[in-house]
Amino acid sequence: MTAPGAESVPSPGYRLLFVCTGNICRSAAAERLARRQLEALLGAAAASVLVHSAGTRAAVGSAIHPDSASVLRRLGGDDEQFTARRLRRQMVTEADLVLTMTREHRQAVLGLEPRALSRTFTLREAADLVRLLDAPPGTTRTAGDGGPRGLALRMAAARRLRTSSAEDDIVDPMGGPPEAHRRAGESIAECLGPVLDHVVRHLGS
Amino acid sequence: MDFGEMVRALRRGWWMPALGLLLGGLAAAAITLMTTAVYTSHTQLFVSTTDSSSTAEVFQGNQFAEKRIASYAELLTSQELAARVVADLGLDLTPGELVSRIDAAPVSGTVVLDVGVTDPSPEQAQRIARTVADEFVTAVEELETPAGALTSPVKVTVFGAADLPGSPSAPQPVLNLAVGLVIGVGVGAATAVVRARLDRSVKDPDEVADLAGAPIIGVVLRDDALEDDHRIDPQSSGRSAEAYRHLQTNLQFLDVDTPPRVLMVSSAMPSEGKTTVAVNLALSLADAGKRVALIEADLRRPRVISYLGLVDGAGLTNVLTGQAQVEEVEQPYGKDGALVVVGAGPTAPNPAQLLASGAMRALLEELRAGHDYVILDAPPLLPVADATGLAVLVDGVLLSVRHGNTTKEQVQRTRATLDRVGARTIGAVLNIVPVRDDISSAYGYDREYAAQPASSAG
Repeated sequence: MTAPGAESVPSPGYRLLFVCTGNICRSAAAERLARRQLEALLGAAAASVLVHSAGTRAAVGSAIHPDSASVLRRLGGDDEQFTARRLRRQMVTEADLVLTMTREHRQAVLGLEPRALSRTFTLREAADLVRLLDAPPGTTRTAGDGGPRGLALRMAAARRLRTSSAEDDIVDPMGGPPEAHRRAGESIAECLGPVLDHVVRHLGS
Repeated sequence: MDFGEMVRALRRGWWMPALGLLLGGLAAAAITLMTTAVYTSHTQLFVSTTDSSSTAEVFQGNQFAEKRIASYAELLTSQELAARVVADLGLDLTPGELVSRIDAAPVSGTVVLDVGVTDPSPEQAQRIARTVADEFVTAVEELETPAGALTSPVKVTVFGAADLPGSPSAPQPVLNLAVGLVIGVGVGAATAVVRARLDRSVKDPDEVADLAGAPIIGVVLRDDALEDDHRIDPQSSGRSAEAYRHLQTNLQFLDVDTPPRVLMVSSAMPSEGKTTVAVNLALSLADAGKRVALIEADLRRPRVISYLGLVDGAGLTNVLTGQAQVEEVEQPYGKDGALVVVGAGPTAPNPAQLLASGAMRALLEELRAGHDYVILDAPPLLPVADATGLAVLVDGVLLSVRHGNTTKEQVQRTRATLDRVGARTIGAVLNIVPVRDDISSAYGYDREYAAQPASSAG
């Protein structure tokens, strides 16, 4: 496992952080699926997007849960060489976009770093917000569009157009049947599509 | 309690005498139906002395008869006489049972005895009455004939023969019903009045204004939709939206020289609807084109964020402890962005201290500069001290008083608490008022009036 200090190597890239509870099912799958989708979208340039994941109560050092791993492989992801990490404040501070699995995780992230309010979304919320960004052109443009955090700021500004509810959560498959892992994995893959599209578009602009 | 209060209590609790009336009537009907009908046959007996040739003797005889007549009444209800009647008629009754059906009493000041015999059958009653009279005449003759004499000086004459009763002597439906209804209505009305006397909750807007020492600037009727969703659509024409528009307008009339712009919404106790008032007042003000900041200042039981479906986890406590700037944790709400909301933030161990801090004062000044109104949803004033420290930092306190729930003492104590720290109560909102209450019509929210304004001329 890399030391936290090593992460702050100067990088012009975009930092994406996924958060769930144990960092062995949902956020781990999200990290690997996002990497896979970014490679498909950007090719070699995908290296400019740094994708990480962490858990609020991580099973530190563990590999991906076997059920989630098999779902991940079927969806085209890679489950090799994964070690679960515990969420730290610095990860949040550095991230340009924090995507959590549930509202509870979002709250935990904000507990570590309240300033991240406008960069932290649940994955489902984020997928819904980028859809709103598409809809009425220009309505939610705010200052700061240029920087790496511009996308998150525009998404946060669109929050006023919707209300957060239990619909924003992707439920924990831990302790559930393989079917639960499949459902979680498919939800994650589905939500990642539009969000990563916007990330790529944002980086290109 | 004066007459007016009594009338109000009865108007409010009108259903109690009504229910009493119904129950009394039903009880009377039940008693009437359950009672077997019985008939009473009456006969009158006249007592006189026989050997009276002069007026004086007649007079003396009468006096004698009057004295005797009490004994005769006893005689009529004696086992002995009853036994003879049972034997004569071959009745299926013991003498004792028969005695209980005979009622004999002297008509006072006369020498007349009135005898009533009650029986389920009118004919039987008549027959028994007739036999009782006959047997009595015989019995008196036997008893009053002195030893050796042939005739008795006292003579009993049957002058009112036993009648055949046409209607039952019991039950009497009309009487029963009348008694039942009167008792029912009386008990119901008494209950209503006593209940009103025991009820210490506030119901009257003028009374609230008096106790709180501030005008009533809003009356919000009970609204189930509002209770579920917690927020109104400020542009709707609904009753609650209208009530909040009134409240918002009234607020702008308060103290026109130094209009209060930083307001704390609180109440005496929890669950008096203060968060709903704070949220919807903020929505109404924003809808009226004001720039509004709504602060979730109840750090113990924050509700604003969940009512509005915003993001929980960062907010006021972060700003007060210097972990974030207010711009970093405020969340815009609504399409036009006139309203920003600051959540409570992570739970803090010392809410009272945070809310009364210099950081809080600085934050309010900062928000005042950027907004037309700053609305704080504060904790209740009586159970915890959190809001007292905050109350002195704001321009004014708006009290939410729950109709029929907040007590007079609670309003008084709240006022005392605020007075003690030198806070200013700018107004009160009478909340969750039942739609049927007379206040609703008094405050112009009469449903009928709204529905058919043309007919109101009559």
